[in-house]
Amino acid sequence: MMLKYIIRWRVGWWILHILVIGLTLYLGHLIRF
Amino acid sequence: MLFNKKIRGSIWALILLSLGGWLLHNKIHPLSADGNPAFYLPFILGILNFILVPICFNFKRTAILAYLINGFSVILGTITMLHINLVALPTTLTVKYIFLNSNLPYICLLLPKLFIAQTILQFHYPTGTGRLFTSFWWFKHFIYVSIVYILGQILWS
Repeated sequence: MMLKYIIRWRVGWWILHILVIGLTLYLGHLIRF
Repeated sequence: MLFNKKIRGSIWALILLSLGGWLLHNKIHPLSADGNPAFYLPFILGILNFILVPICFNFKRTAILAYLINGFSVILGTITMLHINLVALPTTLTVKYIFLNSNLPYICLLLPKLFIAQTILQFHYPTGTGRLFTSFWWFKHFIYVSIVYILGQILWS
């Protein structure tokens, strides 16, 4: 059901990737050991 | 009953693994008040993984969401646990250190969640999901997430 929205180059795919890249970049910035 | 009969075992395996990991995190480094994401992130993701993810996995409509949350929390956990070890690497690296004193045992406990999630996805999508969510897809995404995480560490300090 949900799969059809996240197929490559669809709007859902772009939203998901921008969100995940932004979040990972932010976590990389925040997390310090 | 609570979960679909055919995937009940796999879902319970995921719940117990996630709960075990969450309890282990709380035992090793309890939630601190200083707002360090390395403390509160496993706490939040752990709760998501043993409450929300199993419920979402039960239905085909939300199985992909559960699969992605589960998979990316495994990747993020692996990367951060590797990071902890890399910043405090001893001067002489021994086999004993790698197997017993590093985070390798915890990473080994975390990775089976990917394989269990794969069996649940195969139940919901018996004909497969094409090029998506294969072993190679996960390997590629592990590399991509690692690169973005390292860029966040280096460029945004």
